[in-house]
Amino acid sequence: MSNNIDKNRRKFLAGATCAVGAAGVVAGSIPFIASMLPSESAIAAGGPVRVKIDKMKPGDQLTVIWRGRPIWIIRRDEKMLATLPVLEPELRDPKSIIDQQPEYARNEYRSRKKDLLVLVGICTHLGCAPTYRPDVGGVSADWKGGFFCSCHGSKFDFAGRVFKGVPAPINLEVPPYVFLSENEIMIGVDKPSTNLDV
Amino acid sequence: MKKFLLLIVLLLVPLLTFASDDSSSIVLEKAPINVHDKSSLMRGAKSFKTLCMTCHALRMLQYNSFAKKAGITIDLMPAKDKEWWFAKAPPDLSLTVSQHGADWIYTYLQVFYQDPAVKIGSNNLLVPNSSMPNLFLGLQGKQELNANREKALNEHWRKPHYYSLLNKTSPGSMTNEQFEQTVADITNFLAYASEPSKLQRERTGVWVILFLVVFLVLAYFLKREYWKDIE
Amino acid sequence: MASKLKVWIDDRFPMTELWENHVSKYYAPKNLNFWYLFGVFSLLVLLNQIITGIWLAMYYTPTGAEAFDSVEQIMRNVKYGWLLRYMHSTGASAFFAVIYLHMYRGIMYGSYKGPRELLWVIGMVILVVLLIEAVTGYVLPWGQMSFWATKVLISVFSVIPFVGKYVITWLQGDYNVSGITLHRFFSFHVVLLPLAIIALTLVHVMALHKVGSNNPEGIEIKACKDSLGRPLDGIPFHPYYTLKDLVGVVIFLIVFFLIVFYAPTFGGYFIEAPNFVPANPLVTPPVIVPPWYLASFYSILRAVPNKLMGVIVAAAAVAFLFVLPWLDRSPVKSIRYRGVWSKLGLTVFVISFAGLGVVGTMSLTPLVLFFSRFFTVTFFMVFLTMPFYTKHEHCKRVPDRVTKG
Repeated sequence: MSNNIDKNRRKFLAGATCAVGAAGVVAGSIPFIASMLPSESAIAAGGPVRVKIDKMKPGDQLTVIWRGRPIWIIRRDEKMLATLPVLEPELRDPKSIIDQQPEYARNEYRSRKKDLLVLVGICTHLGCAPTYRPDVGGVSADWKGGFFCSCHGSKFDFAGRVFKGVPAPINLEVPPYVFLSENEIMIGVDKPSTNLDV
Repeated sequence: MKKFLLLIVLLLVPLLTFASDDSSSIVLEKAPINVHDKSSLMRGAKSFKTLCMTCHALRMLQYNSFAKKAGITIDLMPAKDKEWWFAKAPPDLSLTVSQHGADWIYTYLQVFYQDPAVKIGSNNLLVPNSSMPNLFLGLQGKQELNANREKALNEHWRKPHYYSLLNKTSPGSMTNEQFEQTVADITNFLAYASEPSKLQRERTGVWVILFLVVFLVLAYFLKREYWKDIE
Repeated sequence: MASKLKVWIDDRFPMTELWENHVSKYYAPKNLNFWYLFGVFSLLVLLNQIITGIWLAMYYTPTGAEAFDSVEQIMRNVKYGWLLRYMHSTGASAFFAVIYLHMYRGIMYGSYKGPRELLWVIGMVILVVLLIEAVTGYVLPWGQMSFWATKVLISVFSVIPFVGKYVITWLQGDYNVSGITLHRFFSFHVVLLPLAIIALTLVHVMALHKVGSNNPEGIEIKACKDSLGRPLDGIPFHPYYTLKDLVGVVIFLIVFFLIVFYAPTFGGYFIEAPNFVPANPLVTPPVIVPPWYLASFYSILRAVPNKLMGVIVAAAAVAFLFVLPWLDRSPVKSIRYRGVWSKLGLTVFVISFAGLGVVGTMSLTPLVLFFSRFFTVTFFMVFLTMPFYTKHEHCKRVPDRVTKG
């Protein structure tokens, strides 16, 4: 039995084998983790949605589904737009400081064009679907119009901005969208997608 | 160690037999498959789109970016529940090379011939009396059954090549070489379509095997070092 | 800090005790050769099947309408889905290759003889459960072979007198093999049988650790111990066999991944061509063969002209394997010290089993039928004559101590 155990050689070999082995385990786990990302069919199903808006009259609401979530499209008129500056003292985040919208929607109208509002129809409190309430005085005596969530009473204005004193903490989310033309928008991208297959 | 290697070799012997059941009546010509040849794949894809896609779908390539580049998209394919006026619907060809083998497809595309005895006017040596018309008449030219084919058919100990059974009676717009190349490209594309991940598979494999060989060297020296303790 | 945690855990859970009893102070014979790697390979492949199986189950749909397409979705649209699938299909065949070689080691070195008879029987139970696991897994891609091979295998139950037909309907959950059958086989394949295999494997290793490993010489190392109770011809499992097994495992992985990356269908033996055609109850494929690992048993079934007798004979083949420890009357364990009759018997056994397997994947021609019957006979002859030749043959004297190598 050999008594000359080279401890350093053993430590080196054991260490090197462990290090390379660990690298192998990390590399080997990549396919497993990557496979859990959305598959090609999920990516395709989550692709942008085209919506024709030519038939929308002022006050109309259109709801479409994008990535499994309801997206509201509202045609706003001048009366609705006039309520926006008036309500500012009652709002939590009137200037849309918190990142709930693309750059082009960080303005007083929270939209690219003031006559069209695009919002994700999910309450920022606990995820219920609020109702579109353009009826003045409908929700309360001083209700000027907007969105009301009946689950826990959260209120949002005609730009989706959240009121103070309600459970919801932040403004309704504005999804990415772009005008393909005067009459059609594409929801889900900031620029028109070249991959326009159905 | 020698026994171990012998074992591995013995386990691989069945590969030689190849589990395919070749019950075709003619020799299957060897298809020159090379899925690494991207230009061949693109030519094949475009030929497929022009010649085959009116009737045959490739639904499993719906999200395949190479197919989309060739203009093969789901909206241009026949719908899944489309009604066909012939009895058997044309099959989806997404897996045809895995099902039949590349050689079978390559041969199939070359053995159409004119047959006045059949209603549609054309027939095929590998799949007799089907409703698939001879789409290659214009390109390949007219083939007819060879009147002297009895001799080739009666050689029981070997199968005949299709060219012993068929005669080219009038030329098509392509030369023989051009037509064979077209058919080879289509077969190549269909081989790709049966398994698009093959290219990535072969690339990834190199790294995995390389890593394991390096790791083997380390593990072996580590083992040997500790086993010095044992006489 | 770490040692304090160790003490805290050890006061509440036998962590160090388990590590010492089963790994660092568990003594294994010092002369184990490469045949002893197949046990750890089985564990590795089991782990592979479980992990890739869990991942595949994230995307696979176990219904008649969607199963086939879901597998192709995995192959084409899930990132690295092709890798998960091929690792699982190669793993299935690798499992049987490894298990058959593991069993061969046991037969060759007499590892089933006392006090390891129960260990062998537990292993045989694992084999049977594994065969059922493979059959329930094979149906899942819902290709032509999945459907028709399952139909043929289930029809075996029709030999049960009086209730056979009802058993079949009960098993199928329907009047024919259908999506309902597929769905319940999915439950068996993913939950019931893996749990059984894991439990049985634990029991198997516990039984092994109670008696200790056999070795190529067939010498009981526990017969000669030192003053501290350690076998003189034994070495601690860790680090010696952990490191040796590591080398073996890496070589195995190289062969395994060469197949996964460069020959996943293995010439049509691991994934059959007809299985790329979606299942069709109205069209029978020209040849219905079972996967290669079932071929030997299928051969025996086919060799017997009567269906009921065929099932009984095939079952008898498995039964003989179960009682092998009691058929073998040799005083000597390992083939190295046995007489010429045992060596002949082992050779005939291997050739018969392999021969049955080869013809089992071929369509039934007169020549194939002849060899199926010939090898069935030779297979049984080995077992039937074993009690006699093992008792009376002349064996060499087995040494008390393991010499070098």
